[in-house]
Amino acid sequence: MSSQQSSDVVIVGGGVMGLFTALNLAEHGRSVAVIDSGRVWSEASAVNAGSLAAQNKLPPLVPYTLAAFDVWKALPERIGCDVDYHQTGGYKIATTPEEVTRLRAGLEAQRRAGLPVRFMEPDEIHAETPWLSDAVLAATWCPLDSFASPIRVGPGLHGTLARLGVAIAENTQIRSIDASAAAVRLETDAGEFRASQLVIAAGAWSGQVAAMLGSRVPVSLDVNMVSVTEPAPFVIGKIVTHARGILTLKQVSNGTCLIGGGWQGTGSLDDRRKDIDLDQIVHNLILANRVIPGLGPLHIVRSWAGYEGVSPDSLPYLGRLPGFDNVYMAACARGGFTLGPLFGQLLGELIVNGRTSMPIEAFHPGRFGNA
Amino acid sequence: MRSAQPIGGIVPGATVGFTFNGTAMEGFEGEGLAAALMRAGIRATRSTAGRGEPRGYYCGMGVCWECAVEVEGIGTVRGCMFPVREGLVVRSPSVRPKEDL
Amino acid sequence: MVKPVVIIGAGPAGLACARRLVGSRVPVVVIDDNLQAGGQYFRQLPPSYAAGPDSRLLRETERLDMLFPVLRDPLVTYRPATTAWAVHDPLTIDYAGPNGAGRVEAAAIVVATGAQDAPFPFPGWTLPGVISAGGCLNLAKGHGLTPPGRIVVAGNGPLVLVAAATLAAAGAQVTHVIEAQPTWRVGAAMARGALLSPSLLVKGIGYRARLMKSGARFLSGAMVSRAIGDGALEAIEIAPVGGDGRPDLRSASRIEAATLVSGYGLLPGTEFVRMAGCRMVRDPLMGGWVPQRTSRFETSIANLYAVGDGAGIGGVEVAIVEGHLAAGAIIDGGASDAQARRRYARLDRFRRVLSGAYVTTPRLSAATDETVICRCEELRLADLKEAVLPGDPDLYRLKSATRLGMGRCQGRNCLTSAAHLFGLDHEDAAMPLPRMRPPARPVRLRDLIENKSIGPAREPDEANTPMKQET
Repeated sequence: MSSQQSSDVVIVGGGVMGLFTALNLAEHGRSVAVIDSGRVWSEASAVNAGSLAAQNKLPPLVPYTLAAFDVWKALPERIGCDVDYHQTGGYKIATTPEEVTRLRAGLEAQRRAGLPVRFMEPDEIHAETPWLSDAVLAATWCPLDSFASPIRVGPGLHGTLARLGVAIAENTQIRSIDASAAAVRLETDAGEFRASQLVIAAGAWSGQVAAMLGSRVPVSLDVNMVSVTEPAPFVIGKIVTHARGILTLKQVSNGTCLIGGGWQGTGSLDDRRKDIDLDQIVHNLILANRVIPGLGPLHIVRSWAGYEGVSPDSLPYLGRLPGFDNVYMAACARGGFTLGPLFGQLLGELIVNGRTSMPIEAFHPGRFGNA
Repeated sequence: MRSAQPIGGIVPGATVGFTFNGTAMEGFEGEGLAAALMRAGIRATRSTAGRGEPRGYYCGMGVCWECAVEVEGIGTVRGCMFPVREGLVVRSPSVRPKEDL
Repeated sequence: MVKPVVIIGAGPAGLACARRLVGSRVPVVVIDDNLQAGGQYFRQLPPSYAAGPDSRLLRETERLDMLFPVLRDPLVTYRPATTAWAVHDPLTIDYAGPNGAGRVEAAAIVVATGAQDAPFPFPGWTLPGVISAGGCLNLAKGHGLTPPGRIVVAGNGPLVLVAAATLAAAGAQVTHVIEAQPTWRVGAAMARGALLSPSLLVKGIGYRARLMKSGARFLSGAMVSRAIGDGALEAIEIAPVGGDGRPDLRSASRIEAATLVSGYGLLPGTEFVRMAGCRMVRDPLMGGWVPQRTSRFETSIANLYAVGDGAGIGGVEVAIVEGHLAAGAIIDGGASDAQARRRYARLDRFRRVLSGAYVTTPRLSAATDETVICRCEELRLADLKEAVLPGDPDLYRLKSATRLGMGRCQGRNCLTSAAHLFGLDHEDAAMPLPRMRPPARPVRLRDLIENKSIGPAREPDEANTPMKQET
């Protein structure tokens, strides 16, 4: 257990942020080690519903979402596997007058941020999408909304990293981190890791990792639930989101329908438990059935829950950890699955070049005060 | 080939009519759809979405879903668990999703 | 209002438990996935069917007549065609089905979910015409039907004889019965258990005699290596069991058959106890991973009991006595059960002898790289091997890399065979089966949402979800 590993960069967390950062660094010739307290690609990155929706992003994140689509499109070739990426376009729906008002109000900000969105009246919606019920009073349409399969990305990425020589240490617990000197030292139960730079990309655990360095980065925990139906004839060709973000729905290429919307299960980071809240998941399904009655006859085959780390302003953490020259963070993006491939690239640029091709100041990990 | 046969001494329910993939069939009221199809000599009751391989009755206890068929107005049912009744419109499930999203 | 005892499963164990509870005036809710009660062993013909006294259907009715009336008792709420799809603290069950959905708070839960045929993949096992031993028995008992054509019954364990004898009695054309364990081994082991349950032994010998009379050929020490057919089964290939537990293809031979009844062991239906979070233990003589239980069949969760084949393969006798004893444990802590417990101890020893008689070392396997392992997702062994990534394989990783077990059978027909094929299921292994999430069985969305007992909605709100906790 006294083994020692050295690399240019050590990344704590093997989710979408950490592995895409690793990919970019490795592609730039950096040696990288990834440490994960569990399995890589097993938490939020693996168990999210795979939405790559532009319409449900906060306006400041829209330009990044658009840029992320380009990264996504190039991904199959880059990691050598089909990730089931489909840009179907999507409807963001409203079912109450208040939600209609909200949709209209959001339209302008979205357009200013560069998102092509169109408001749709009920007649137009129902002519175009007979599978949406009369409960839908209005919708906005965005041709860019997409989805991809989280469980296809992970293995492809993992294999590519292995080929690029990235060292991946799973089920490895960090005991202490020392970043005071030029070289960062991590003591773990699998030996010591040394590197010139440290990246914290530990999702919901990122606040805890930062705390090991005496830094306060506020992270709260969401436990999002998702349900999936049996395969069905292909009907729902577009992804569906909700004016209040309480429903996401898509039919993926194997015919199953994924139903989510951030309905909360229960759980805590300490024991890694995430449990289904049986009341709330039924409410999630009630809403889905109200919007798409064609789901009613389908069997629900599985439900699950996954962590999501959230910052106080719901914007991600991306950049240098205040007080350190050699510690970075990429975490807690709402819609991290969408943004992760781009954020990995931006953080790679920052580490390699000292600057990024898109501004990241708004995501500064120190913005809530780090004392 | 000897067909699937009712066991001697068992008096089945009344004969009822239903359709399977558009073909008129006869079943005994109350027997499983899978049993009725087996008696009619239909062994593959569906083909798989991915490779188009034939599948039929296998576990007989509602576990494997291999005998799944679609009943109009109801949805996918397990053929071994769903009783035949007059007028059912039954199809092999068409789960092959559209290739091009 | 007194909370009822909720029994999941209306097979022998569940009914025996209900019967005794009701005898002590304890209200009971029986939730069963099937249209009709009886489980697999007492599977009933459709209500519209009748079996005359001269029926050639081999089935037992005596204990059935003893157990069934309990479902009409006013203290029993019987919910057929209903899935107990979720369990939550404290001892609360959500159920749903075409007859309605709801929630019931239980004084105790008795899980009596029974068993299924263990998945045993070999090339061609997905062909129509290959049916499981349990599926064969249910065809006979539940639909009054025997499968078509020339029939081969092959497998490992007592169910092979039962299925073959049932078919032969019904007049079906059984040509071969193929047991993987050499007869001398079964016989030697059974001789040791002969005194524990003479009646069962007599029954077994009767089955064997009936088969001999029917003209079926009995082969032992051989196994199926392949099912062959274009669109449906036409023939099978069998071979002697090699020293590695795999068919020795050098001596393979072909048998024409339209039906293959495949019965390579039974698997306890542990999905519900795993969903509840019960601690699991490995016991090969009980069928693999089973819930850890006290001597009164309580699992690691207080007041949650597991009985019958779902808690460890033992057959109908064991199931009935376990159900009876679990009821006793609930009623008075088992204070009046000394005699029944002695009877149980004998049965428990016998089931281990019976099960041990058929244990093969190493475990049997006939899967090849081209064999479908996961029927729902159409994954071949080669697909799974290809997906095994750097690091140790485990079922979680295999599952997330390939969709193994993510189909409608929810892993019931692939996870244990995959665990075996990837060396994840052995004495020192951690429980390889992934956590079970609700629903315990697929349930129609429109049935799930009929539950009127659920609490109010707490709608998540996009950008400002209330903080639950700072980590």
